Amino acid sequence: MDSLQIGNYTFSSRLILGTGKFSSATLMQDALKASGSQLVTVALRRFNREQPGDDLYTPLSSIPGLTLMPNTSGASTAAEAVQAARIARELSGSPFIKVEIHPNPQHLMPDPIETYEASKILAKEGFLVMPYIPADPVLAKRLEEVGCASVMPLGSAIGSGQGLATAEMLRIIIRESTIPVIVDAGLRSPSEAALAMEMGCSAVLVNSAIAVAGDPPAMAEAFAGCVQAGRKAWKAGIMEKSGTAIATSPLTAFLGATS
Amino acid sequence: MPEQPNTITIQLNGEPCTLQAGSTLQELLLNSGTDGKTIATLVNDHIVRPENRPEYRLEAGDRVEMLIFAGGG
Repeated sequence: MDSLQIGNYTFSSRLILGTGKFSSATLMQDALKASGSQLVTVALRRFNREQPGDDLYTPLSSIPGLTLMPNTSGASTAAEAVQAARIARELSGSPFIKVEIHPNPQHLMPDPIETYEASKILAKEGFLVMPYIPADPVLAKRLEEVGCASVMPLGSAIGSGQGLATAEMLRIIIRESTIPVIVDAGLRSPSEAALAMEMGCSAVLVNSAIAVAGDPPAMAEAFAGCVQAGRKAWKAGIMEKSGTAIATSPLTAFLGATS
Repeated sequence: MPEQPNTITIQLNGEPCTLQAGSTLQELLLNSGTDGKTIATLVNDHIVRPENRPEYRLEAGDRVEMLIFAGGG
């Protein structure tokens, strides 16, 4: 069984889904079921009695086999992220926490310093820390050293659909890491998820590309298929590139051969 | 606005909120239209667990946060 192991948790699916931007909870549920995902992100928000549909706890609880990975979105400092993580654990009952600290709403790039500080504290508190980070191999290694359960470098900016703009840095992070590397953010189409898996990522996290698709459940299924295909290809061993042609057929002449 | 006798004003999710003096956190949840089962509560930045809400009496000036899981990536 080629399963994804994070801490004491084992997942057969390598597609992690975000739950933002869906037009309804029902559509989100249908996409989740179609994706086969077992690990899903949620965000903490203030309760508003005028908008009871915002509360995803009950819709998510109705899907068997899901583990919640709350994020710390909204935090702009390590202290805020640590507080958000502790609150989220009260609700989720899950040790997973996606450390997400992006102070600038214009580009939503993760703050590496605050992310590192928060991750260090939360790992010591027993969380399975999954930090959302810039695609920086040095930072990724430092986070591994302080006990993070994975690192989640961005492919490109959140919601941008720019794909694997950071591909070369991702390759270095994958090569150097001994913990799962999960590409988080920026993926637009299933082929990009396949490519991330072919590069050797352990999983991908997708939200916008599925949530804003014309048919989110169908897109979720397409992503799931590509994640599986990419993983299988990586395990099978992808051929090396060559600067010159290498024949696949014998070059021995026979038509018109004189001897 | 001056407080009426037997009432206190707190901050609920950043907004002023008037309630009966002696109200508990659980009563505030019920008055807010929820049993609180899917909500995390904080008072003055401290987490108050569900089992402690029925006894937790709110005081004037308390800052109460009620948080849910909403969609997010």
